[in-house]
Amino acid sequence: MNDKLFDDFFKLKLEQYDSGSSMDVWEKVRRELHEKDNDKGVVWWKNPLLLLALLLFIGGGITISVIGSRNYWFAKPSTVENIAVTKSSNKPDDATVAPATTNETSKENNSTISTGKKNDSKTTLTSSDKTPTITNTVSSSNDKTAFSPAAEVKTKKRGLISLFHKTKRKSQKPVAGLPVGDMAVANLSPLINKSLQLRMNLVMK
Amino acid sequence: MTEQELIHGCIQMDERCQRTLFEMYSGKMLTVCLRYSRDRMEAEDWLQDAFVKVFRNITQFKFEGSFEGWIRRIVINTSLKHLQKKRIHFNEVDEDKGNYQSVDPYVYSHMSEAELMKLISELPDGYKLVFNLHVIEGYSHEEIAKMLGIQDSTSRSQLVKARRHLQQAIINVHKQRLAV
Repeated sequence: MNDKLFDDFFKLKLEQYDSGSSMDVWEKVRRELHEKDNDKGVVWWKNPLLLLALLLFIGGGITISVIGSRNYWFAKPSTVENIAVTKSSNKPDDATVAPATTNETSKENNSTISTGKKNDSKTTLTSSDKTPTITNTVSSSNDKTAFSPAAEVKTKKRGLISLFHKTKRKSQKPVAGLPVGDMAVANLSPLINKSLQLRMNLVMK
Repeated sequence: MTEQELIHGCIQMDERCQRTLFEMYSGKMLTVCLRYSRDRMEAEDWLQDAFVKVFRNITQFKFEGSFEGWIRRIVINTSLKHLQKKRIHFNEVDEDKGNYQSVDPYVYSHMSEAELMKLISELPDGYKLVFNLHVIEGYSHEEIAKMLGIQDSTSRSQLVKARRHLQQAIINVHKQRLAV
């Protein structure tokens, strides 16, 4: 048998030969065709259910955020926790007063302020952990008032301002009716508030 | 339902038409896949891929020429794509040239299609590919060379070797029958 006949023999026998396909293959084809088409149809803007769900989700989110912010802004102002005010004279042993008011919302803020009410007093404001420590010396009228040179005053002023801003940033509970800048100060106990203002005034002078 | 109506139904993604068309051609097309693949499982995977392509691209059929031929081309191309992933080497297998015998036409007449399919599936990949493309599908050596990225001469030599290999296999089958 030559090559031509050999080739024709194979072609005749196999070209139209039917191996019989199983319907499993059809099921796979059908699934691939129609499930993918269904997937294409589920586009958010084409599907009203999806659109509704999306709107509900956005609306719910907005409502929750509005309610949350109202509770936040109209909550009772709280005092700063762990604030210890220590009166001290030149001797460190004289530190006597250390009132500390606590509030569960401001546990992170650990600051200590020492203030001296005696004539010759050393006023120390220390804010631990996250806030910087600033020490300020104030002498009252009975003694010689020893003000630092201009540069020192400038540095102190800068330090106070930065403390003020940092406290402002870290203040956790805003107080209704106060501008943001004052909220931090208002959160501190009145004693600290007073002390801060006093020092600010002195530095400004 | 005529073939044309079926095709129009498939264009509209009518599932019943698609199923009828599949039942009409899947058997023959599975034979095509079986000739290129190693086993039935692989062939069925290729057939599935090919029919998905057929139904997705059926709008491209211009009603010129035979629809079966159009499907067959898709099936062959799909099979070749799968084969190309395997990186077939067209190595020449050493044949025992001294023992080559001519085959009596009588022997051929007793060979069934299933037996011939089995013999083809046992060919080395390169031989099988060129033999199927040239002898059964009717592609020229130039076309095969382009399709497979080989030289014309490689295609020719692979075909010659495939023929010899098959003839020898047919003789062996005949001998086994006589022995039984």
